Amino acid sequence: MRKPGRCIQAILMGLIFLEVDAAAQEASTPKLADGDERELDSILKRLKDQDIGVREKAEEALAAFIVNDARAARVDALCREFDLDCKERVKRVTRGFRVKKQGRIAFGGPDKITLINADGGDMKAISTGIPDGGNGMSRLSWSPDARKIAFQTGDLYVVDVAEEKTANLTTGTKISGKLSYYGFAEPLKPSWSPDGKKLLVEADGLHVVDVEGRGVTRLEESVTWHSGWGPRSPQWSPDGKRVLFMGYSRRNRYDLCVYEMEKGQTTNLTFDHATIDDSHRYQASWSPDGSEIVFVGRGDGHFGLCVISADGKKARNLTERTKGDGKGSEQQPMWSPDGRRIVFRGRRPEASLLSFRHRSGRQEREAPARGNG
Amino acid sequence: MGDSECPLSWSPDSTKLVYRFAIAKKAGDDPRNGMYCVDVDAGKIERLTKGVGGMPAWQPKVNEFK
Repeated sequence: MRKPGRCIQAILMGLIFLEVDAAAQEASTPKLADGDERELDSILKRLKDQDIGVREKAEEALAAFIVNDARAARVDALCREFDLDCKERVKRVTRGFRVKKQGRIAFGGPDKITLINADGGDMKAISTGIPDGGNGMSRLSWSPDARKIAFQTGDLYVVDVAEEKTANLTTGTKISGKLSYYGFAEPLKPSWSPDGKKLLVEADGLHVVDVEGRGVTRLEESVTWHSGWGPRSPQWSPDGKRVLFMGYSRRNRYDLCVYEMEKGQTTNLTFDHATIDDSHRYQASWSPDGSEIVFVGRGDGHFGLCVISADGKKARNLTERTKGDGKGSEQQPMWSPDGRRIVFRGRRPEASLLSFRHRSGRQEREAPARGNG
Repeated sequence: MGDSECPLSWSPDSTKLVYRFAIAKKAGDDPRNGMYCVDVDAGKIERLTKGVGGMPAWQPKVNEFK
């Protein structure tokens, strides 16, 4: 008779310890101001609502609420009593906060992705578990919500940065970076959709890949190309309604083309443009507001940067043409996120400069493309 | 022809830019190889890492919560 009593006592003790433990943890997290506590209480209650729409709104409200460490810690402490599903959703939001705060730089190594701070400190390796086959991880691209990174080693992968889980998005599909492409590996070059749900890739045509593995859509029916040269370097427009790519036109050159997702129509922006009458046009980059595109124009061995409006009606040369001998030829233009500047560099690293121009074309600054170290 | 891998990445606030500098040599890596960060307005260049590595990508500013 005494044994069951001890068991009950032990169970009760266990419960008491759990209770004390939870209370101690909550007590160790300072309460917020009364108004903030009430707002948080309301949000957390709505997180448990039966209506999925209410829950989603509550997640958004929670994300907006978490603006500092104190609030994040308080949320973390209070959600201990939640069920698993609710806890997972809270975790997702708070993890987003921590990732957002860090603002880190990612780069690929042989079998891992490394994250560092902008000052070079706090280095952290994320194992992907993928042997690189000697090619290394390339084309790293953060998802718009800063939680995932897409990369390629041949196939296309996405890694969840916080959970360090990697998914191969090309398994079971017809696209593969390992297929031959005129003797080279497929470029892929993943480009995130602004909503973070899809990736555009170049793989014997243009494809939209669902990030959750729900399938691949090919855009080829609406994209024309000639002579076997496929469309290249697709990029989503900032509003997600258009796709920019290099299409091989009837003039036997690459032109800038824009595909309208809703209409399913392609427009060649540069086919008949007298202002930028060059041969190939490539290395294009959307302006952050989606109104213009900067790109490299090449003709007769000369290189230069051009800017064209997204509807193709207005075009201008951003730089003067220079001989494409490797010295001073302008390459790889990129718009700054605030849309004020365009940076570009020379072709040959030891001779190149980083050059910054106002979007109007005014020269702002030049810097050698390396440090003194 | 075409589109080579772009090694530049802007900071979300447009004040800095990170890039990979890499030259392959038969005798080993060039001592200047590494990842560098440029402060655009100050014109200051800082070396973040040494050696050859992959293309850097700066974490974007998250504003979908607003």
